[in-house]
Amino acid sequence: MAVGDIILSVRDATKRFGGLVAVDHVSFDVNKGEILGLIGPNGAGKTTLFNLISGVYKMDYGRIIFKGTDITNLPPHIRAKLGIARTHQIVKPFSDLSVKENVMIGGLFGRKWASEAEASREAEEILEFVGLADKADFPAKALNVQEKKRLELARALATDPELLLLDEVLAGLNPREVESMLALLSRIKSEKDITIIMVEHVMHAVMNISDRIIVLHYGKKIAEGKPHEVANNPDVITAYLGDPEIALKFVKRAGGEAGR
Amino acid sequence: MGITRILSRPGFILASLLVVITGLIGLLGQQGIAPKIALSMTVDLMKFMGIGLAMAVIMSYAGYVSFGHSVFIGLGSFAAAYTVTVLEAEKTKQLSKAVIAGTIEPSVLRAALIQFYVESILIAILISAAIALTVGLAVLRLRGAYFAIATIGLNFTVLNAVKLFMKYKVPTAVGDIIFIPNIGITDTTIYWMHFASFVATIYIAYLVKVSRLGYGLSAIREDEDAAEVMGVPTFKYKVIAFTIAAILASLWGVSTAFRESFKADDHFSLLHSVIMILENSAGGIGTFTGPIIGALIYYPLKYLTQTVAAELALAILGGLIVVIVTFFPEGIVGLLRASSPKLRKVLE
Repeated sequence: MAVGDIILSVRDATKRFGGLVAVDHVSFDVNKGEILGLIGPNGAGKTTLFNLISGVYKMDYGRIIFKGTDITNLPPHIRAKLGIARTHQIVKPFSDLSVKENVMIGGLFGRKWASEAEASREAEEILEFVGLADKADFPAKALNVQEKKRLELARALATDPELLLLDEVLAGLNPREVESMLALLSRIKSEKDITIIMVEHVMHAVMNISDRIIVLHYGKKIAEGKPHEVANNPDVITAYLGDPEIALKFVKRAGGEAGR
Repeated sequence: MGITRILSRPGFILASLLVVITGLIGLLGQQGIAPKIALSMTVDLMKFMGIGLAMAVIMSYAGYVSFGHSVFIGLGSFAAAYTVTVLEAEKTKQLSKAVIAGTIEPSVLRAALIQFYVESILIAILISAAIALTVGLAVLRLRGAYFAIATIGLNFTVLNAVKLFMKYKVPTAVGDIIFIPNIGITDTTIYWMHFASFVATIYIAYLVKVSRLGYGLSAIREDEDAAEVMGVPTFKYKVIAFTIAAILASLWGVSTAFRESFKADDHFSLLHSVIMILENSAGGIGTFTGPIIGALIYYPLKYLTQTVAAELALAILGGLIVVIVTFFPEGIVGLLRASSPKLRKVLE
């Protein structure tokens, strides 16, 4: 599969919770090798959309095609085997297992179903890559927030994905940690040849790192395009951001950075 | 996984050590060196470790408490009674009469009963696996407490189905008891029957722990959603774990029946489930060593208090559980594991 091919197609994805339509006929494509930013205010349906792509929720309507296979009705573990991995907004470490064991689960299952020895070796490499090698033997619950975020990422990488869904990996990090996480994400894109969809609230970060942006609002897709296009889209500014003052700041910063 | 990798692991060494010790006690008993009381105490201890380990596979490894797990002890025991007194009724009757009349040696009956023991094991495995699979497929989509409640229901349903079956189809039943002849069965025979269950249980429980299945189960215990998203086939693994836990528990039912006959109310009693659960919680959830330690705590308590009142052991253990769960929720092994990274590796 060459860069530029479509790796994931979402068609009319719809999910209702009672009377609330959390995701409402959302359609988009993801190109192989790109970083796609998914933004929108709280409650826009971003995490729900992730849950639909990873298979945690069943869709009420619509289809999802991954690498030409219709995965709409496949359970999450089969999607993992096909090459979809994710991190969680609220981290979900296997608390009582060691950091290394956490990552090994990814290798033992995921896409590879590697042997224990192989999973162990790869876990060490990945922990080195994300900067957690010195914590390998600690129980996961002993990590701090920033380290737990890295562990989420390490576990997802260990499943050897082709498509990685990152749910607010920057949230709760201080500016220095954000910078180092962003550097890590760039390395993942360039060194590991993994396509990324990221949900993010840290605007300057997502605007900087994304090749394209999709904006959700009340479950609907209201904009899609290059970061500077989206940042200057009047619908996004007024409807999505609401507060004109924040909107102005957003346009200045994001537009400025993306337009460089 | 490499064989040598397993052989050198602390858990495997612990299992083998226990097997060697109990094996030696059996040999000493056979030579008449170890007293009868030592044999019967070791049998009890093996049983408490064994049922704890059986429960560990679903409760401790996967985090699903099977409150009705005694159902599989009951089924194993019933399978033994049914095999000896119904399926092999003719042979059992003839041999018993002949031994009483003195026309054959008791050892002939013993040999037959050992053969029936093997048959009972096979039948017990089939029945418990069939029931665990059926029930597992139906209720293991439930999480946590709901699964526990469903298993309690299972226990009562199966107990009463067995009682009904006994009433109409098992002529050898006396009330809720089916006697298994013990002529010719010596203490050492009983010992080796339990020893066989012990060897099977301890190694299977350990191998599950260190296998891919074991890794998957610990991921399920810690966070089932994260496990599934990382590619662990959570539902399938839970059903497999429940089935293995059921089969292992049924082995102990079989050996118990040959020791004390089949007693429906006693062998299906939820008390067995409670003991298994307490052993795992006190010992340490998520570990192979936990239920072994749990049995080593429970059995002496039970033994020391049984002359006063059988309930006293449980009362003390119950109190102990309150203390342990309050102050060290991870159990004794969990506490030790947390205390040093070295112990963490040794106490698997």
